[in-house]
Amino acid sequence: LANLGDIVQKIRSKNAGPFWLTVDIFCGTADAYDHVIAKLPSAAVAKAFGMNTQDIKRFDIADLHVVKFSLPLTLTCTAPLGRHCWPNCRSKRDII
Amino acid sequence: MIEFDNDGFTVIPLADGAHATPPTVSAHMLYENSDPFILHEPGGHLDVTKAIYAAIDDTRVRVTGSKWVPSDRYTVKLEGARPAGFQCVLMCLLRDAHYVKNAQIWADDILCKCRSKVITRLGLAPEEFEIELRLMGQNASFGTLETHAAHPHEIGVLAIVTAKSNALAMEIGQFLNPYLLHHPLTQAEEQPTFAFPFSPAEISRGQSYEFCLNHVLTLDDPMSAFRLEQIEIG
Repeated sequence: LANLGDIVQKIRSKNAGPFWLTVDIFCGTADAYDHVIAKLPSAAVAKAFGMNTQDIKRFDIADLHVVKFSLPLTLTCTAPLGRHCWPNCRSKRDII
Repeated sequence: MIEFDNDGFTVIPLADGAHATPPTVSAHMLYENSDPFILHEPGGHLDVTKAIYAAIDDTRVRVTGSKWVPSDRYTVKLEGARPAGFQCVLMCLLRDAHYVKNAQIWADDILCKCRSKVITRLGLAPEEFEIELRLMGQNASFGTLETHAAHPHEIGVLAIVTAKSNALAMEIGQFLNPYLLHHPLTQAEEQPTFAFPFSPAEISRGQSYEFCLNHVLTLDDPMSAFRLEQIEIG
């Protein structure tokens, strides 16, 4: 299984307003674009980000050899993260 | 420079050696937009589903087929931010292999112990302050979404304290300082010492802000929500 970053020309990500993260996959060539279309189902992308397929947007732009995914941000941009990531004080994990 | 006419527009770069190409021009609709074909603007939306980007020569691009679709109502976007407390940041570095391997356990333990101490000593409620420890080199970008098991030889620990005043954020930072410097993974081991890049370690970041308002205003007159002031300067 190849890494997406090894097949395509460039991948970039950016917030799109405060509620969305967008990922542009510039495939570079028609062959790479066809390969990505064939091998990268939306469900796999959704799963990697812990989301449902219906929550994400996908645009296949053949003219540009670009596949674009937009994902809702689980936290609004600029939101303080602290209260979402406090650890469970009772959890016991083994020290390596 | 962009030249407009009734059928479309032409993008002409002005800098020496610069060149526009169909990919560079069309990629503009990808950037920072969650939908690359529909762009909502006051009074309607731009639809580039059928836009054609064609190179005139090595530097210029001609675009036709983009369509402006007026809306029934004239709307403008209203966004706002509000103060979200003051922040103090600290940094330290873990370089001991035992601590690098167990960095998350170490950080979680510090958060529990330091939070308890701040609540007890300063009489604060748990929701009155926040402490984050981000492990740079391990998962600071993606958090729980990180899928790579990192094997770094060192980890940067970025600590972020948020509280209602600058003085309180700095005071909580001072409570955190000795943990970042000396906290042992277990009581059985000798007290470790970690590297601090700055002294004093607590750095005031001042007031922070968070996004709080996302609204669409409907206006009868496009300028009714705005005021223009004209100043004569000679």
